[in-house]
Amino acid sequence: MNGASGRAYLRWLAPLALAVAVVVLWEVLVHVFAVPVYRLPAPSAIALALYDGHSTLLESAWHTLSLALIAFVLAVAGGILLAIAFTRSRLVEAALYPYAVVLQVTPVVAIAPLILIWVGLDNAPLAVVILAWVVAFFPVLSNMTLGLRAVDPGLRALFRLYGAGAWQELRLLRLPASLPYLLSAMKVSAGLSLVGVVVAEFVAGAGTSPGLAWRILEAGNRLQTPRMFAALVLLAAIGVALFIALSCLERRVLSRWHESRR
Amino acid sequence: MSDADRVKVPRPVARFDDVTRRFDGGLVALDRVSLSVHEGEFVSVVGPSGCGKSTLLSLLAGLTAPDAGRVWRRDARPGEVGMVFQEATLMPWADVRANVMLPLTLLGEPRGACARRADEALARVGLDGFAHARPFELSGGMRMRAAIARALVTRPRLLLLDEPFGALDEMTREAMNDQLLDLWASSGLTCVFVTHSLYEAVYLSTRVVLMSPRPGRIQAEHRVDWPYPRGEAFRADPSFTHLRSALSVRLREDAVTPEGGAGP
Repeated sequence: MNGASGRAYLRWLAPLALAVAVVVLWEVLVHVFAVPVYRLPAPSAIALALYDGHSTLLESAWHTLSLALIAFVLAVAGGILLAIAFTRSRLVEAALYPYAVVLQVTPVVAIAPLILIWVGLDNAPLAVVILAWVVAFFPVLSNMTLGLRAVDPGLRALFRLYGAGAWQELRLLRLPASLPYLLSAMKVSAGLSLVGVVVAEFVAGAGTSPGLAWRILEAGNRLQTPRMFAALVLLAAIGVALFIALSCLERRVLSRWHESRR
Repeated sequence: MSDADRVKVPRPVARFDDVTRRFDGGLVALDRVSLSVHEGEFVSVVGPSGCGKSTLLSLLAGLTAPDAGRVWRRDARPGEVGMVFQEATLMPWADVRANVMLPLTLLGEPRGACARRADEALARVGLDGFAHARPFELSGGMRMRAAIARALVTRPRLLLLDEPFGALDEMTREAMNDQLLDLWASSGLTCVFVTHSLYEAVYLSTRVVLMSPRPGRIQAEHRVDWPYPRGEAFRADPSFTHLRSALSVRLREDAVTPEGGAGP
């Protein structure tokens, strides 16, 4: 028990200690070598920039987070529904799957200007959500399709033995059985929706979208490197928060039906 | 007189007439198999792997259809036949009670009645008090008992078991054998039990059906005339050992002959 809790501590302590060491070393080296602040600001300068600009930056962070969350929720919903359609009809799958792949492999940066034209320049947030959705929905679709198909053949036989209909089989067997697949896809998809929002903001944002990506561009143009780093820190924090939240959800849900809780 | 006759001649509950069934690849799984199962019987089907005994069971359950011949079952409505698989095949996300009441849920029974009957079935297999346990919290034997409770929850007339105890250790297995016999004797069930263990087959059955592989055929049938309840006295009796080794010789003969004949 001592060993196990020791290892749990290690999982938090080790990266934390590394972070502290890196920050301290970074601070010292920047001062020792007198690195210009526009090239590499010291951690203290970044912290200061974060503090000084916190009202704008936090507002931007909220903007980015909310667009990412909207894209994420739509990606999960769309992925699940399409996966259900795929498992219900091979024809639907045969017809739609290639286009899902095309959408997935086409760089989102390349279609961004097009989407922007379609939704209108004054509708930049909508364009951002659409683009982030395009990036985020594929993992849900492919994993969920896999999960809906990977059902214990014994249980399927059992459902057939009692004359279960397609709806019963979906609701009572396939959906619960695919939950682990969905949850691991959601972890990937949440990260991708954040990436999608940032990339889309770079392309489409140009002044109309006040997200973190725009703050980074803006600060970069003004050579306010500490502010760029401050925005980056917030982006990383959002990504980590999403990942931790979904990992907790995954652990909570799956602990009810697996021994492998740890 | 005629009444006495009717009592003496058990009525058939299922019958195979010249049933042939091919695997998806075209290989013959069952070749012109004919077999009758009568009410109250405990029939074991024994044979090496590949002899089509699982196929026979899934035809009997109505899960597959024959390619030729006819499968007839007296009780053909859903819920009138119960099935236990090689694995317990419980839903890992649901507790034991939800698993056991699944057949009733699928048949559209009202919820309250489902839960009550699930608890009754759990009590019959000695799992009362485990209604809210998760499958992963149970031992292998307990999981299998939950699977049997699930098969019994609809009060079927015919119970099909596909090597249900193969994965259990010997002690648990013998205990499960006795428990199954108790259930069978107390409920007027008819059981068809697929196994590769002659020991189990002879101990449990009123009749043992031997099958040979490639293609799957019924090779011989043997009645086992030892009164129930059987218990240790039967396992220790010379006639048990004798019958078991006689059947074992027959199985081995048949496993050797076709390969010897078909050899290069």
